[in-house]
Amino acid sequence: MYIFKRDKKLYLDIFYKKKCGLNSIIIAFGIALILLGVYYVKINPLPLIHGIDINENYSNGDLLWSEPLLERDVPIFMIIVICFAFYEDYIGNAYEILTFYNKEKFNVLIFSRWLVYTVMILFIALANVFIQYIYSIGSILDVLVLMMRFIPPILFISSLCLFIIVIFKNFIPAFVVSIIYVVLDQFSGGRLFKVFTLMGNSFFLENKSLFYINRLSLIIISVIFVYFACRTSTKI
Amino acid sequence: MKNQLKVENISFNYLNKKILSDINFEYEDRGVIGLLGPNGSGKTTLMRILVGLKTPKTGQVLLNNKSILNNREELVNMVGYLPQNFEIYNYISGLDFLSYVCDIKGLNNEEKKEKIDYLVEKFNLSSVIKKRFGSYSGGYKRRLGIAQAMIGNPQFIIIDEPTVGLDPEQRFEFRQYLAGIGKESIILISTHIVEDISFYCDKIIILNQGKITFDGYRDDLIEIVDGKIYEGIINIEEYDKVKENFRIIEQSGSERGKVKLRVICEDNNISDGFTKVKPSLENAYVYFQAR
Repeated sequence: MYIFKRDKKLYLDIFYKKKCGLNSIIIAFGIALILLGVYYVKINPLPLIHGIDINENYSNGDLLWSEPLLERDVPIFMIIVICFAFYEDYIGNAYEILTFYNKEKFNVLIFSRWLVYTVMILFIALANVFIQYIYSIGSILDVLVLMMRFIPPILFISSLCLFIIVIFKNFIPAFVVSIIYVVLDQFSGGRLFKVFTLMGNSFFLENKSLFYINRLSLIIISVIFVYFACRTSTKI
Repeated sequence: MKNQLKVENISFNYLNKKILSDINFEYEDRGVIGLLGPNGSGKTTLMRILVGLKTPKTGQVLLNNKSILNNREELVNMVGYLPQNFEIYNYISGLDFLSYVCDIKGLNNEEKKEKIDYLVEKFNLSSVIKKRFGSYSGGYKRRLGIAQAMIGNPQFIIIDEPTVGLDPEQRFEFRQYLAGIGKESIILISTHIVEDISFYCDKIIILNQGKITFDGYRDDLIEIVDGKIYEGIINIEEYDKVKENFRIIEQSGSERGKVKLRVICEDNNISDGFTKVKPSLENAYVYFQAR
């Protein structure tokens, strides 16, 4: 009677294939961000000297300037995406049966969905970064510095959001706490959260080693948040 | 082959409060076990422990002599579960969800198709199976819930509050489904509705304040109470006096100005007008709750 077109595991399929609304929003946001990058680089270019070594001259390369687009707007969009992706798990009781069907000691379903959305946003953000800084990239180290500057804040806010959703089984506290984190961090210019600031340009970080400590801290905390979120969500 | 379920010394605390203490029971062969208890007695917690969704402080669950709590793969393959509020995403069709569960349980395409066809027919889901879950009525949601719990021929099926939220017709229909699948596996049903239990349960476990107060068969339960239940019709003016001296366990309207009561009396010291009656399962359950 029923013909199955799918013969693969539906871990991801049933969860994001039908979330056309969310996917459309992400695609629209991605296109807007890339166009904005093109606008910056062509019409309103960054005061960068062509060929400057970003790694050697972090401050000279003007990476110390504030990047509200990538350190405020993209993280806020990330929070909205994660909340939207997970709210239906907890608004009803869907998480109970989905948790029961998880066979691993790690909630694969939560991890894979978080990963898909986070990677999508990171990819879009990086596309914007590389368009903006394309004339300043001289070596692979420059690429690494740019990635260190712009990946950890998005990763951190995404994992923080997931962690709170899973702990409270509700997306509202996650939305509120994550938004407050981003806004307070911006208002305080990074002074409030010190080593956990999202801003790569904060006063605390006007030093290359502190910059790396900050970025590494964000990445480590992100991994811990995701790990605990996926571990604790194997139980209810 | 006979199935064997053994629950040993299960205890569970939440914030230093004892929710379950020393839960032990066992059952062999196929059939339906009814777990009866008032709201807040720990039934749902016990159900969630049995399906590995909560970790007990102590104890283990053995299914055919295999410990299932420490091996999720084994647990998911051997156990079917229908939670109290069965919900999936509103935008997913019943077919997609059943297909997903078949994948999780490791059925190949042929088995998957065969199983879903069988379940769709058995639970009369053909008119809704391709529709979004959000458009299902309460009855269809429960039917889909029980269908997904039966995928992979589990030896042990756990159903939490099966008839909550269903109208009388749907309840009757659902009870018939459960009676049918009780011939294939061990089914543990938790409920606070005695009517559910009396319909199809072989064995009854009564849980009160986190402890088992009765573990046995239906007739054993009724037998314990036999001789302690009296029925009589009294004038409405006498009601307060009777209530003061006896525990009323059933009450129904009678002719004008009179009321028909069933009371518990353990020492035969009963007022005139009351006669000993054969207790119902509900009377026996209320008696246990009152102790």
